[in-house]
This record gives sequence, structure tokens and C-alpha cells, in this order.
Amino acid sequence: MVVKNELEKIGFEPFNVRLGEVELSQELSASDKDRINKHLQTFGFKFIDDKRSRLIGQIKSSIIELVHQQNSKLKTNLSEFLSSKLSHDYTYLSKLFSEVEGTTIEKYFIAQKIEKVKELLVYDELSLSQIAFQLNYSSVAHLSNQFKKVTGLTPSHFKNIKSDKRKPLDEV
Amino acid sequence: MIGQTLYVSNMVCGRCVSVVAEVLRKVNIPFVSIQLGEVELLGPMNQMNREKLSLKLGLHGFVLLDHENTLMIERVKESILEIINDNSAVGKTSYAQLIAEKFHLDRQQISALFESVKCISLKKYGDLQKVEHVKECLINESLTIQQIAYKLGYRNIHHLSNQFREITGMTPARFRSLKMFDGSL
Repeated sequence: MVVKNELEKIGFEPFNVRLGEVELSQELSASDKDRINKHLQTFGFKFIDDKRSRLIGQIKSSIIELVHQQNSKLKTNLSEFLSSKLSHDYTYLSKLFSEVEGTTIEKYFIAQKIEKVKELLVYDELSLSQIAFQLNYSSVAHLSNQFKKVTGLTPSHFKNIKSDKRKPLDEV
Repeated sequence: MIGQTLYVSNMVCGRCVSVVAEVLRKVNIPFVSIQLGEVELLGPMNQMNREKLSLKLGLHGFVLLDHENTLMIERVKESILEIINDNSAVGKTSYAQLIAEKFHLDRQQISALFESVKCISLKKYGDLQKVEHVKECLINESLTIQQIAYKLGYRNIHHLSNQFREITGMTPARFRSLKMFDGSL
């Protein structure tokens, strides 16, 4: 991939390159960042400045907080919640997030909710309808449908997929 | 990829990822990344560390896959990529079925193992890989969306569009315009 090769050419070691992100094995100084930016710009790439990537981080952590803490804020509108919390127009937040992450804020929110559902299913302390209520789904059916869409599995199937170390593969 | 990839089953959510990270740190095994079911190590791991890790993970209910099962998961992942790149197989039968036939194994066993590691179905994993592939093609400006659909074995542009939107929330055209306008990675 272009970015990986170019970074290597100018003396950096990228060890993980995905769409939108590069992980380097070293810390970057301001002049390093500048060098990288200038170099990548010649290929039409741009290093997203810290302010924007910080904002993306804030969007993600706000959503994670919203989903994983038991609070009534889940009942409010996601766009209103984020724009008031982060003091930015939601259109701007949405566009920034989509540009960098390659997916929408709404999809990220759904993904986090499903993560939470998985966690609650495994802990096995709440019934499916209690989980649906906690995460503000209108019904168990709604939760199940969304779960299946995201994971390809039904919630009940998911509860049974753990593998047991003591059973060899052919007895699973 | 540097180092080794370990597969761990029964990691179901973000909290599990944190627990596994903590275990790795305690056992002093450096890692590059952790996702559900997979840990990418910085370097190779010796047998003693492997056993220590396996034990500690086991205490939390996680299972470090042995060599045989690790090989199986890697074969499944590779096979899915092969199937995606070979249009003729697409749509006729399930990934699980194709892979079971290829390796002469039980379809149910393969699905069960894969699901316990990745927490999603084989089909969903395949769809996600396909969409990533579509994204890469979209960023590379030379193909039209129609051509991408054809290249990746979709029945038609609507089929591609629907799957893409289902997974990313955006139409392929919107994704492409966002990426092109800004020029960001």
C-alpha cells in the first residue's frame, strides 16, 4: 500500500496500516508529523490534525459512555446528545466521523449497543426483555433483529457458542 | 504482520478484550493489537509462555486455541478471502459449506469453532471482508461502482449498494465522495 511504502521510505516503521489509521512503532515529534504530512500530501493523502482525531475520539468515548452506563440519556436523541456534549453541529461531527472511520456515527452506536447486549447475555443476569429495556429497544424482536443483522447470529444461539477447553474439537 | 497471531475463544465483548490485555501484560507478553478472538503478538512466543498464558486465560473462561484449531481458523479466514475473490462460488452455497467440503470436515464444527472465536457468523465475517474490499476499490478511483460490483461477484449494483449501506451506513457513492473530497487516508 502506498502509505506504508512511503512511510518506510522516509524512515518510519509502520506496523499496522488500515484504512484511516497507521500505527507506528515510534513516537512522533512535531517535526516528524510535519515531514510525514508533507510527504503524504504529494500522494494526495493528508495527515489528520490532532484536533480532528481528538474529536473523533471524543465522539467514540461519548457513545461508549452512553451505552455502557445505565442511564436514561439513551432515551434522548443521539444527534442532540452528541452535538450538545461536544459543542459542534451534528452535521459536522457526522461528516468528520464518516470521512475518517468509513462508517457512520449511527452504525458505530448500533455496534456499541450490540457489544453491550453480548456482554449482558454472557453475564446472564438479565432476561432478554430486561436487556431490551435497558438499551432502549422498543421490543425484544427489535433487539433480536438488530443483533442478527450485526452478528449474523440470534441472541439465543450466541449464548451457546462458548467453547469448552476440556472438550476436544471432535466432541464439540 | 509482525510476530504471531493467537486465537482466543469466548471473548465476547470489549470487557473481555481488556481482561485479555491485562493477562498479557501480567505474563509479560508484548502485543501489537487485540480484537475479539485475536491477539497479534509483537514477536514469537515460547512454549513456556504459551502454557502460562493458556492457564491464566483459562481462569477467566477464555480458551487459547491449540495449533490444530489455530490452523483451522486461519484456513477458514484464507478460504473466505479466496471465495470472495473467486466470483463463481458466490451466492450458490454458504461459506461454511464450501469450506467444509474443501477440508472434508463437518460444517457444524467449523461454524461452532469460528463463532466461538470471532463472535459472528462465517457469513457475516465474509460480508465484512467483502465490504472492506469494496472500500479499497472505491478509494482507488479507476473503477466505476458498476465495475466494482461486477469484479467482486455481486449480482448487480443494487446488491452491492444494499450490502454496503447495511454495513457502513453509507452508499458507495457517498463513501467515495467523502474520501476523495478530503484526500484523507
